[in-house]
Amino acid sequence: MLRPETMNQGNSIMTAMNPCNDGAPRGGRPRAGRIATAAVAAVTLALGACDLTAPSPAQIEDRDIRDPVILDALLTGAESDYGRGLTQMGGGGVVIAGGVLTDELVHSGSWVGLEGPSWGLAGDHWVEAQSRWAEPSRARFTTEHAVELGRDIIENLIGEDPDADPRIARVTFYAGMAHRTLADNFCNVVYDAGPLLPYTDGYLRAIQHYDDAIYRANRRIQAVQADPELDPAAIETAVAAMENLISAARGAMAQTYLIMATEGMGEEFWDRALQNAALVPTDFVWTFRMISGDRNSNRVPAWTRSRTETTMWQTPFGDWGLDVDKPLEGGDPRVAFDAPVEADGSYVVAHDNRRPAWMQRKYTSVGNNFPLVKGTEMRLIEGEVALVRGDWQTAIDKINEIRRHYNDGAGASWWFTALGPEPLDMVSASSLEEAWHALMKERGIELYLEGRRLSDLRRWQTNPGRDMVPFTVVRRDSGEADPWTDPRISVWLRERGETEIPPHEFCLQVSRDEKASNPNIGG
Amino acid sequence: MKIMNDTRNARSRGRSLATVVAMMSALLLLFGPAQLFAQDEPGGVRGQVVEAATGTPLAGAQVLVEGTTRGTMTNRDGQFRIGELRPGTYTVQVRSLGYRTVQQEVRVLPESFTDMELALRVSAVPLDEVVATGQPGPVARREIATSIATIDTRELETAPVNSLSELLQGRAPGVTVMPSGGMPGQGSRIVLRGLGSLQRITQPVIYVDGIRIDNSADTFMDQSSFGGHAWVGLDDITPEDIERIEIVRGASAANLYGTEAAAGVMQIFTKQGQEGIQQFYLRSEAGFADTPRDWWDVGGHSARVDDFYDQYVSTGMQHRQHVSVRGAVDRFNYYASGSYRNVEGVIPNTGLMHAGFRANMNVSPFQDFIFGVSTGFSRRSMDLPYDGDHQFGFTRSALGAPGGVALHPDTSLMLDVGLAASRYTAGARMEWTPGTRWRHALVLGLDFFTSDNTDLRPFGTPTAPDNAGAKANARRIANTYNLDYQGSYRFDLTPDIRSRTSFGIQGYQREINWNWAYGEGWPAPGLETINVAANDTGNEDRVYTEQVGFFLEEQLGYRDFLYVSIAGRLDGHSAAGANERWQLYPKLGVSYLPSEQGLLPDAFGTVRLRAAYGEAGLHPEEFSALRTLIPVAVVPNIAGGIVPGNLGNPDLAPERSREIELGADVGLLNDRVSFEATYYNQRVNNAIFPVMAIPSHGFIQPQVRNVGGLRAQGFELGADAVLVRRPGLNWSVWTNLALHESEVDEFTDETAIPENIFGSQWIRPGAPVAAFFDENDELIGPAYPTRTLSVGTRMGLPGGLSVRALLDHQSGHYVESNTLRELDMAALAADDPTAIFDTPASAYIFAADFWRLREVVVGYTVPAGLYRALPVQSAELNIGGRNLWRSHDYPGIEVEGSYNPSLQRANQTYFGAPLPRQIVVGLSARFGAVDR
Repeated sequence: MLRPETMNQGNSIMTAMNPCNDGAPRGGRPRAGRIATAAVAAVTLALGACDLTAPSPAQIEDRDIRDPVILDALLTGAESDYGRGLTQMGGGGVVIAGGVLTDELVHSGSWVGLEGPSWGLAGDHWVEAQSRWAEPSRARFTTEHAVELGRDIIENLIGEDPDADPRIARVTFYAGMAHRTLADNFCNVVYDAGPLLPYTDGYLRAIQHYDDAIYRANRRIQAVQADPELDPAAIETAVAAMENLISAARGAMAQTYLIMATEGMGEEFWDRALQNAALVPTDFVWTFRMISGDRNSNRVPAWTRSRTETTMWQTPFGDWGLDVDKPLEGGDPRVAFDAPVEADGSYVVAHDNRRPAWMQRKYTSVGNNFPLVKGTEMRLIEGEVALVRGDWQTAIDKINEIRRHYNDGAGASWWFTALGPEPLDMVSASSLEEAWHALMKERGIELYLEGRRLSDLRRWQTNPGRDMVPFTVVRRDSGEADPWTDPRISVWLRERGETEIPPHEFCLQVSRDEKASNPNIGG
Repeated sequence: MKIMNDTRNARSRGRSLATVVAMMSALLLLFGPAQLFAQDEPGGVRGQVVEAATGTPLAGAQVLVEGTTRGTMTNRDGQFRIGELRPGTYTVQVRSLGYRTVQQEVRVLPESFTDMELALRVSAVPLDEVVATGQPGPVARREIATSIATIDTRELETAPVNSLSELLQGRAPGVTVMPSGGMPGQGSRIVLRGLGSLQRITQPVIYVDGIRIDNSADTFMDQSSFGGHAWVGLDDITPEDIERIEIVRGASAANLYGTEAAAGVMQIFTKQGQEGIQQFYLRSEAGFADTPRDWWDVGGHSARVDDFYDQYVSTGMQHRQHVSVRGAVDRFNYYASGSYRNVEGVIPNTGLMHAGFRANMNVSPFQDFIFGVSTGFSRRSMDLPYDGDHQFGFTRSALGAPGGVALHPDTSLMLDVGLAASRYTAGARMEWTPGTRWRHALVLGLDFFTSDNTDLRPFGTPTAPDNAGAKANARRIANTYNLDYQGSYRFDLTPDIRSRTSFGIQGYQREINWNWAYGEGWPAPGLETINVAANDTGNEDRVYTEQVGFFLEEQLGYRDFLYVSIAGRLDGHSAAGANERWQLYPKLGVSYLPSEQGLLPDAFGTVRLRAAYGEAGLHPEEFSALRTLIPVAVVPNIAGGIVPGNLGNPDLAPERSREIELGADVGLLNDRVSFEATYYNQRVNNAIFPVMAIPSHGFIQPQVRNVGGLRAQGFELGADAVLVRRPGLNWSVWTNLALHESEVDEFTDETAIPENIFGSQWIRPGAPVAAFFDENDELIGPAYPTRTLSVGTRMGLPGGLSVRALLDHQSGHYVESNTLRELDMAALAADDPTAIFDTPASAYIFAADFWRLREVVVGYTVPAGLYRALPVQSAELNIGGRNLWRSHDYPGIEVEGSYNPSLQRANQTYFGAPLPRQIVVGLSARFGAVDR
């Protein structure tokens, strides 16, 4: 294109080679030219042999992992994957999603993927719903794959007993926990691109893994105790670690049996729940270790504090809990919260510029560990089984046992906000119904934001029954619970063909990605 | 088996380096310390080039001695001098854009200079203009079957621009520059012929003097805290050092570059030394930028605009200094320069500093060999506020949008964001022309880029955890090595048919390393390094990329009016799947000049018809073809872990773009009017697109497969008319027009689903790439312009005055304003917090059509009499303005400001600042004596 500023005035090097070279010959070296060409051809051929496999020190190819040197990383990664599914993806993982779907939290931000569950609509189509399903699904695969591959490496490449390896025992436990994450939170479970299965299938698989974990931990104990080369201190340490793992597995089994029993999977499970719970002391705690990195950081503070995407305002826990800015008003410190106010006394609003920002204080840092099994919950399990059998006084006693445990200071853990509160009051009841209310309230408080509320509310619809479930949806100042008033949600309701306020859901949906891509679900 | 990535890394790099060294050694041995000095004492030629019609001396005309590597350009008096020629008879060729090439025989005698005078006639179509991009060596335009845009920046030295991106705006049809906002230093997206991919980032490949440079926009930081500011490597190049830019826009022209170039190629040629002229050049410029109040108006969506404007918006000062020297001594020529510019923004905490140095040297130890070295260094740093969608963003806070915590804009200004980068490029070039038939050229290049990006919340900032401060710092290092060999052999098959066989090899290797650290919680004010923070964490990543390609082209030319070429490139890329590593890209082209054949009446002037078909590729993202596990963060007291990563796809092939291009270049009315018209039709049949992996399988990242498709077509027109041409008075107008449309094809895999890019933008079959859709999935329109038009004029007036102007227009596309949505949310929330949800998302999608007066420059050539006593060759004063006027219906802040250009397919706005008006006054002067 000819324009004054598009003149070619190229440099003397690149354009000095006149392509119309038909002027007077200048001499030259044609033979040298052919030699040069031949040399280039030879180098070209040599370069052509390269395979262009660019190295990647940041990734490991699948073909390289069946190697003993990878074992620790394989098993550590599996454990890490489990933790990631709890609070990381999809707007705070299953913990936050379950929180807004139940009555632990109210959505107070801009994420539609949390707004829907906050109205009681789990939904499978939101962007967040895809990762909420995907991460725990991967965790299930990763933990089971790690156990399988790890056992193969230890047995066939190292030549040792894989069931006596403490790492295998530990990851086996987390394989069980991965199944629990799916079963506790989702309406269905899916494994390895198979069909939709009832969520209760996940409990059966979890129990198997807990059992295997206990077996392997015991094998480990036997092995170290029989090892003549270990000194007593090392044996003691190794045994203690495995006994801790066994307690955790027992506690997890107690949790799972309770759920299974409630779901009507077998009357014998009530006793199994009791038996396992009895083996876990009240002061026992097993947490998932969160770290201040990106992958396994505890993201609950981000979604409940720094971003104020959710709030405790208008939840029963907000009523029960301790406002640390108003300690004289009392409240349970296990569900303490910050509720800052403006100069005029009005509450500081959350990210939606509307609802007050009542920020939970159970997790205040990305490094706060996440409780998975607690001895205090075992007492609640015992109390609940007693309630099922009509013994409401035992249930009350168990609740008070927990409260005395905290009042005594023994076992006070990081989540007990010791801000100088009054001791926890003892509870009382005069009827079975009152005792149920007390236990359900106590359980909600004790397990607040531990990813357990959703499965509790779901199973309590069965036992003690739908009418007893302590749950109301309050989202508007007027007390109405009407998702049709939110255009972002009403659009989706219309797509589903709904014409009324649908029933509140008590489980998260398998993601649309899974349904669309899995040929066994119609993908 | 063992995992020894470090060893593999070392071996691979060692192999590559060894190969390069071996090749250099072989070629040096071949070229060798051969004849360095002529056997007879050398002579030379000298003379003057004038315009035939008026006798006006022609400055900047290219004078070449055929059969040698000797050449130069005429000075402002049209004079030239070429020495160090062995005695004999030569053909001297003179070219100048806009004129017909002239050849004249001359005899060179020992120890003397032969005088010549050559006159050039006007020619509107530059048939003999030599271009290099997309060709196996310098080739005359008449032989090329595709369109190539060339931009000569000589007259743009006085353009009021602060970056190369700004320089490119409106200069060539089909080259769309889309800035990200009005803060100094904000990068731009450069899109050639629309988005050519569904998934891949389609930025053109960029070379500077044959050195391939890294042009990634990745800062490795949280983009939202930067407000979508992004880095563009292109802007590291100092505009003052550029002599010429060549751009090839489609696969038919970019075929030579293989699996990298479906999005086009841009070659930047910097200034070199010139024989006969030893010259210092100085340019000093100062100015200011501002924004009128109504440019912040946001269509009435905020009641705080006046307060915001009065308190925070001001005039930003800027200045630019550039000095260079160029010349030649015997067989050695040189160019060296230094530049510095400092630009203040119109809102607080915004500014740009850019300093650069360059040195180019060439030596011709003997007549048919030349060796050159080019080096350049650039340092840029930007200050920015938090902006974009960040809840603590400055503009958001000031205009009243909701945030996570109520934040005063002064508090937001406590948050400091800085982007800084250094780039060092170096290259060696060797050209050897043994005889009249052979040509060999070798380029070795390296580009070292380092960026240092910081996000600082000082101690006491309310937004930092516990008010104790926090800092994130990211370093990105990109080292690129490239090698380019081209060879050609010409001979006459018959007296009428000439053959040119070209061949070569081209390859590069790139290493990218990111390091990131974060710390929070300082015990006291004044501390700002992460190592003394209470809590800290870090991260690192490394990526390697390799590509190598071989090409072969055969061209037959019939009597200089018909050229037919066929070519192929065999290309391998490390990112492709193992089963699709090597790809063959063919090319076919025809260039026919009926005017040269004598078939057309003289009134038609020059006519060239061209047609081409070519294929080029776009490689997948690195490692997307591999099944991998990902190393993850270390758990305390336990080794780091690995988890499933990418499912992989060994059959993942590079996207293949096929393009047909038809065009015509015509000069009319005695070459006073010219136009270049091109129609293109593109098809991508195997576009890379993510397909959901089945999550329950355990690999949850999407698997990329070649299941997408894209078709596009367009029309480009460049026209130029000389309205007046007289001694002391000339006036020309020009225009560039480009029309483009695209459509996504149906996916070939039913599990592939439309992708939501951002907001209301989707990749959906049957619609343009990244188009906007409403709540009912109805198409609103494309996100990229379907029509671009630029109109310019240039006048040379009596008395040494000159005027230049450029008017720019884009239309046919849409933009989504998150700014207005956020402001409405704040405004409505007070009365009814849910009212915002009654407003559909499509209410915030607006037509993005605009007109903008990009440039106006008035120049005055200072009469020589005023500085006769000084060693000044020429001097010019000028005053220039940029973005002086705009017109659009978009109610937001800036219709051209696109949030987060790293989301390259998105066209979203999120606060930011408008492109400011700029006024600059400058003085240019050339110093030095003319060597007669």
